Amino acid sequence: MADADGGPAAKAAAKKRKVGDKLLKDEVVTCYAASCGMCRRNCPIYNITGRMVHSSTGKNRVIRGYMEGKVRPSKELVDAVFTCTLCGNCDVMCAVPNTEHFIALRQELVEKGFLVEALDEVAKNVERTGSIYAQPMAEPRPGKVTVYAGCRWGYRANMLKKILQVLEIAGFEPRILEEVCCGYPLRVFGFRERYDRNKRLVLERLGGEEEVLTLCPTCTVELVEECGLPARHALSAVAERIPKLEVKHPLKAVLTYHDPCHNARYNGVVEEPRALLRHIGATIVEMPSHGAHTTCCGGGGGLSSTRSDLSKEVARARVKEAMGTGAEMLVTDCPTCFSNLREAAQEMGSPIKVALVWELLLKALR
Amino acid sequence: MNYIEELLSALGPDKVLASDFDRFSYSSDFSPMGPGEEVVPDVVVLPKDTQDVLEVVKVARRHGVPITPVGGMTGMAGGALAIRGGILLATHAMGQVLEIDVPNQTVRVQAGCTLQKVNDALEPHGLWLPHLPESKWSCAVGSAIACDNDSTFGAKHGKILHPLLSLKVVDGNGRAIEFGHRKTRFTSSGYKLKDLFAGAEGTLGIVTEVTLKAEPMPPYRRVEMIVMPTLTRAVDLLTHCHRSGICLEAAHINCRHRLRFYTHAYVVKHGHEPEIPDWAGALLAFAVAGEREVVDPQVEWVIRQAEASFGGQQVRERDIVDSWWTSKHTLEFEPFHQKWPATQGEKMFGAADVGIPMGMLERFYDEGFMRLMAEYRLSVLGMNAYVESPNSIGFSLSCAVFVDYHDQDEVDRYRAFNLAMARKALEMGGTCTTYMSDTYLKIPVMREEAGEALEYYRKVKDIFDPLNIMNPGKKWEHATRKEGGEPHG
Repeated sequence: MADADGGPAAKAAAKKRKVGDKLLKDEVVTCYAASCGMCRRNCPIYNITGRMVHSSTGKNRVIRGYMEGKVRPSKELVDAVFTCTLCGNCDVMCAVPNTEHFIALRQELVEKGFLVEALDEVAKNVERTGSIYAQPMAEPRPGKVTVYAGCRWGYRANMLKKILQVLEIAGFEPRILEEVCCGYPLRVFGFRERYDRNKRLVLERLGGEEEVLTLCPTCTVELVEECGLPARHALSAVAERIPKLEVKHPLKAVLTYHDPCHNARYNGVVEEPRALLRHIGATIVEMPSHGAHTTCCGGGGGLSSTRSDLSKEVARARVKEAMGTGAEMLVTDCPTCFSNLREAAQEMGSPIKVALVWELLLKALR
Repeated sequence: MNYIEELLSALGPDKVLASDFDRFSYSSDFSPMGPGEEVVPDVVVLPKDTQDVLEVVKVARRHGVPITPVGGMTGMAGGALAIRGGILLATHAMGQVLEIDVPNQTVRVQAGCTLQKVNDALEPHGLWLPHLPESKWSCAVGSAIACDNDSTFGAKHGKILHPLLSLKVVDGNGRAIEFGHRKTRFTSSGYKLKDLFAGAEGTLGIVTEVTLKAEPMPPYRRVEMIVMPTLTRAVDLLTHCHRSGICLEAAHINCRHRLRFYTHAYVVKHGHEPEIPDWAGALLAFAVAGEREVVDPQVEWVIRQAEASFGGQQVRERDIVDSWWTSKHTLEFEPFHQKWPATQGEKMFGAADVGIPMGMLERFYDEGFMRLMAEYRLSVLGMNAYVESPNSIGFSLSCAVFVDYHDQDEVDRYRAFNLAMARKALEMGGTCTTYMSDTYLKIPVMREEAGEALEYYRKVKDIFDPLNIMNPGKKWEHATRKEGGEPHG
C-alpha cells in the first residue's frame, strides 16, 4: 500500500467520514446552506418516492439533525437511510463526498444496535463462507495475471469461464487465487469491525500481487480505494489490446451501453467497453444518462435486499430509458446491473435484449 | 382524531411523513440561517394530484392548520420554510408532464414538475420552455410561479408570467379552480386572475397544474462577454442594442467582483481566477440564439459597437466565457467539482434581490450595495443585473455577500443589510424584491412599498384564503378570521 504520495488509497482515506467529525459536520452544514438540489436531478430513489430524506440533500440535513441531537436513532430512520443505492449520482453532482456521509451514518446506526436483518445475513455469509451468497468463490487456477472474480462471478462457473476465455484471446494468462469477498458490502452496510477483519484477509491473499484484473466495478473500487491494491477493471486491460483482437464474427447490432455506477463514476471506465464493442462491429446509441452521469440499475447499496420493490422500479426505469434509444440490445459489464436489468426487462416483457459485454466479445472474437 | 391522523386517514401513510427525520429533511432552503435556526414543519405531505391537495386543504381548514407548499426548496429567502409550523406540502410527487400539444406549442404539467423535466419532455419535439433559472434541475414549475423567479433567458423570454397560460389552483376555500386563458397567448376576457399567483408564494392557494407556452428550440446559440468600463456604459450598450433591433436572448451585467461566482470551471482548469483588467467596472455577458447566419452578424455587431463606441473590450479567452455559461446554464461541471460547495468552501453566501430603475444601476451599486455592505461589515461576492423583460431593459438584481452560517451575528447583520438594501431601492424608485418574493424577511419594507394598495391585498387574500391557512406569515402579516376550525396566525 505504497500510497503516501496521494494515490487512490490516500484519496480514499481523505474521503472517510465519521459521525461526530468536524469535517462531516462542516460538509453537511455546507449542503444545508447551499440546498442547491443539483444532486436530486438524477437521484434514482428520490425521483420515485419524492421524499426528501431519500435525496442527498435530505440525508445530509438528517445527519446534521442527528449530530445536533434533533433527530433520534430509530428503526424508521434506519429504513430511510438504507433506502439508497449509493450509486454516487450525488457525488458526481457535488464537491463533497455525499455517499461517504451516508455510509458514516449507516455505520453509526449499526453501532447503536440498529441492524437490518437482511444485510446482517449477508455479512454472516461473508464471515462463514467468504461470499455474500454463501456460495463457493471462484475455483483457483494457475496463470500469470491475477484475476479477481469476486462473489458475483465466483459461483457462476460458466460465465466466469467465458470471461476468462476472452482474457486468454486477448493474450492474458489468467490466474485465480483463493478469494474472499472484497468487503464492500460489509463496509457500506455499516459493519465496520466485520469489514476490518475481512480486509485483513483480502490483503493477505492479494497484497503481494503486482497487478489484479477485476471483473466487477464495485470490487475494483473497493480493492483500489479501500485496500490500496494495484487493481483495475479487466475491460481496461483488454481494451489496450484492441489492435491485436481479430474479429471473426462481427456483431451487427445497434446497442446501448449501461455504464455501471462504479465503473463510470469512480474507476473512469467509460470509453473502454464502447471501444471494444465498436471494434467488434456494434453501433452504439447513447441513453440520455450515460458516462459519469449514468443512472443506477437499482441493485446497489443493499437496496435489492432492503427494498426490492424500489430496486425493481429503478431497474424498470433504466430499461425504459434504454428502450427509448431504439437499440435492440442493452449491454453492460457489471454482474449486478446485468441481473437487475435482465430481470426487469423480462418482467416488463421488453423486446430489448440485455447482454453482457463479455459474452458479445467472446462470440465475436472466438 | 387530530389533524395528522386525519391526513393519514385521507392520504395513507406513504403520503404523510411525521417522523422527526422526515420533518427535519424539510427544515431549510437556500436562505442564510444561523445555528439552530432550522424550521421544522409538524408534518409533511406528498400529494400526487389535485385531489390529494384538496384532501389536505379540507383537513387544514377543519383544524385551522397552516399549509406551506414547496417545490425544490432552493429559494434564497425562506419562502419554502414552514415558519408557522403545520403542514409542509411537498409537490415533488406531483411531477408528471400531462400533455404536450406540439401544433399549439403548449405543455401541461403538474406543478411539482421541475423546469428541467419539462424541457426534457419538450426536447424531442423541437420545443423548449425558456424559463430556466440556474436551479432548473430542482426548481419546480409551481415554485417558479410562487417566487416569480428569474430566468437566464429573460432578455428575450421574460419571467414566468410570459409563458404562463393557465393554472389550476386549490385555494384556501378548498376549491380547485382553473385560472387563465387555456392555450391562447392572451385574452381580453375577464380579470387576469392567474397573474395574481406569480410571486404570491402560495399565500392565495396551491398551484397543482399549469399550462405553459413552449417555444421552438433555437438551432444555434452564441455566448460572449464584454468587459465594460462602467456599469452605466454597459446599460448604454444594451439600450443601443435594443434601439438597433438586436434581439438578445440573455443579457447579464456583472460587477467586476461577481464574475468570481461563475468561474469555477475556469479555476479547475487553470488553477487561478481569470484576470480582469484594472479599468473594468462591469462585464456584460450576453447570448443570441437562432440560425447561425442570423446570430453571428448580430453578435459581431454588438462587439464592434461595444469596442468602437462604448469603451468595451471583448473577452477573448474562451475558457472564461465558457466557464460563466457552464455555471449559468449548461451546468456541465467536471464530475466531483461542482460550483456551489467550492464557492462556499469557507463561507456560504446570501443575496438580496432588489429591483431598481435602469438608469440607477451605477448609483445603486455604489450607494445601495457597496456602501451598505461595508456598513454592515460584510464581504462582497458581487452584483449581477439580469435583464428579465423581453426586448426591453428591466433589471433584476442579485447582490451577493458572503455569510458565515456558523456566525449568528453575521447572519443577523446580513438580514439587516438585506432590509437596508430594500429600503435604498425604494428610495431610488425601485422595489424590494424581484425574484425571491417578500417571504417573511421583507415584510416591513413590503408594507412601505405597498402603501395604500395593502388594503386591496388584504381583500384579495380574504377572497382566496379567508382562514389564512395558505403559507401564513409570508409576504405580509394577515389577520386570521376564525371560521370553522381553530384560529391561527
